[in-house]
Amino acid sequence: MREITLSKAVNEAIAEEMRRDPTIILMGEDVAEAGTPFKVLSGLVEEFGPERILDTPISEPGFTGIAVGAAMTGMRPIVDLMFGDFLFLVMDQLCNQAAKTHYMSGGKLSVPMVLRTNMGATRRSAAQHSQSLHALVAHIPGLKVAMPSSAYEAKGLLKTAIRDNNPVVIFEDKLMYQDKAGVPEEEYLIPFGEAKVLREGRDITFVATSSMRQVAEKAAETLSAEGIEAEIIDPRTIVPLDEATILASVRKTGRAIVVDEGHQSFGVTAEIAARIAEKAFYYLDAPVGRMGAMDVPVPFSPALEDLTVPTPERLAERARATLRGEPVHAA
Amino acid sequence: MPHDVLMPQLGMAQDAGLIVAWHKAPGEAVAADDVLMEVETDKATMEVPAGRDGVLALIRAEAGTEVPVGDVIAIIAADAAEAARVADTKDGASTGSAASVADASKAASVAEAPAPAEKSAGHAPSAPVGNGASGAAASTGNGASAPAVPRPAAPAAGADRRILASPKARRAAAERGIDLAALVAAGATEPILYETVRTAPEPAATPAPAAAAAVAAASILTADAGRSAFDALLADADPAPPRARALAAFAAGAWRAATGAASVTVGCADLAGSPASLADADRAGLTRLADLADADGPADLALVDLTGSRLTHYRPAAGGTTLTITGGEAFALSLAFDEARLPLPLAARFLDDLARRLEDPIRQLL
Repeated sequence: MREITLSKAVNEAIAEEMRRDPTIILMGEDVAEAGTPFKVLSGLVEEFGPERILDTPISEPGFTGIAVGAAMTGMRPIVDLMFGDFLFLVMDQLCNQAAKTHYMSGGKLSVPMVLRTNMGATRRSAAQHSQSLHALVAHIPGLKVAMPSSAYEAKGLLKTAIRDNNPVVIFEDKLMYQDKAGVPEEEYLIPFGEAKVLREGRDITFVATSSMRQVAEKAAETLSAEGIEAEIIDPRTIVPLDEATILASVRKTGRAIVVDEGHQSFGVTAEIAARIAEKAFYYLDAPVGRMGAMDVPVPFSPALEDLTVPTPERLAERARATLRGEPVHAA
Repeated sequence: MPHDVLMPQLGMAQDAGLIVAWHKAPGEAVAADDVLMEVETDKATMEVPAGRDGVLALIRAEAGTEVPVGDVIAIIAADAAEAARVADTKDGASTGSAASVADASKAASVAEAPAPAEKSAGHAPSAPVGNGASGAAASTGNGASAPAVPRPAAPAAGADRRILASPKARRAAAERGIDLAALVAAGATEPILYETVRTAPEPAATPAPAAAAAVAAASILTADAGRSAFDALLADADPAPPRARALAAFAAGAWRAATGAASVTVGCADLAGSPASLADADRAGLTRLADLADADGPADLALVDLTGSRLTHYRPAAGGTTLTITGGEAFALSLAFDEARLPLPLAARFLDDLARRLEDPIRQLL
């Protein structure tokens, strides 16, 4: 199978869908000639023209509101939010309008809109351009949330998101745009709510979202050399969440650590850990572990920034402690 | 057997009852239908029958006290003699564990009872004067001047202590009928994890009761293990098993390991002369040894516990070969056996294995 970057996979997904469906438009800052700061959308304006690839002013609430209205009235807009941190600017459009319109109109209106944005620290972009805010929108009923963990997932999930008749927020890790993975030439979709077992193991389950997949895979390799076999589950979408696959794995291994790059407190790790504790309690041989980003603004100092996110070394050490049955004191 | 009279539950939501009056006095004969006492709940006052023929031995909750449902409030004995015996033990603790458990919970509830009133009183100042419920609650306490009520101390490690075990380990233990307390008594560390339960021996079915077998068998083991790790293990076990029976359990484990026997019966006795014959005692769990019924059939091994005496070993008149192992001052083991029936290598392996188990009791589990 050919290998392409995550950036190229996103570009392909949008191009293929735009060729298939003329109602799809894309709008955002620097999306046309610039092709976004990460060059994800390069070439699209040349193929589809400035009427469908719309450069907007620096006005996130404005263009997101336009997209919600366009979606209600027959278009299928893709909003490009340059940094996930800008979600705070579009909360009303996204959470009060897009998420609730179908419900409040008694099903007469729907909002088939995709908001593409990013997450991920360690790019030295400081506190306002490094956050992973997916838990914020996952909290709101009416929004679906996808978190691709590789180029393969990025393409398949984005195509499914574009075809969904309800608002979807998709988070790409900005550190992964140049990471390559096998992506088939032929068309494929990845259904929402279907987790993927990335690695099978008998001793402990790692539930890992987005780039934490790479952390989990490296930790699992280290542990395997020590005789500890970790199973890795990538939920792929956190809303809807594939509980069944996660629970089946935990019932087998009896131990779990949930790894996610959002802040640990009140985040995705807490939600998934709670569901495991509620629904697989009598299968647990150890407390469910959580590893999220430290509960601090992301530091600009590279030395400090690297300390705030989960690493393979820390995950492996946490797994060893869990297997030894040691009580957990780490935050 | 003395009968515990419990505070009855007279209403669905009732969690305590006030004893208004006792209609019988200790020492008085009662019939099952006799009114024993009057109990007042928040709904009604009711007369409660004794429920049992006998003699009222003692009353544990005086009239005028409020008692949680299910607590022991009196004991009815079968006859006057038993009543006297129960009364002699003062609080009737000898009637069984229910009484002592009730004691503990009563003590806790008594200590906690004033807390709600204190809390209500604390809120009262913000409520309008004359407001029904709040006013009534406030009148039961005196706001800030109410003395602080000490919380009952956390339960010490003991009878009611909850053993720490993972949910998976707890479930597996319940499914296999394994007593977590026995695992702890046998040296398992807490929290107990699934692996410990998985590798624990299956508990043996309780053998049919039989007459206590005399300590007589082809091989005779004498043991003095007063200062070993085994002894420390017994000190931690709750309830502590009789030492001779615990030694028998360890000996059975070592015997099984050395000889590969499918079942092991060990006759045992200590110097106080309480003989027993135990089948597969190594699989029973330490805390249940005291209740293990006597086994049928001849013993494979006879054990005499010399702990606490100055004797080191004894050799029966019939003689045979003797092997001895001492572990410093910690323990001394001596085995007298007939080589025609127990070959020397097996005997040596057995005695060696037993010594290792006494030194490191975790081996008994593995």
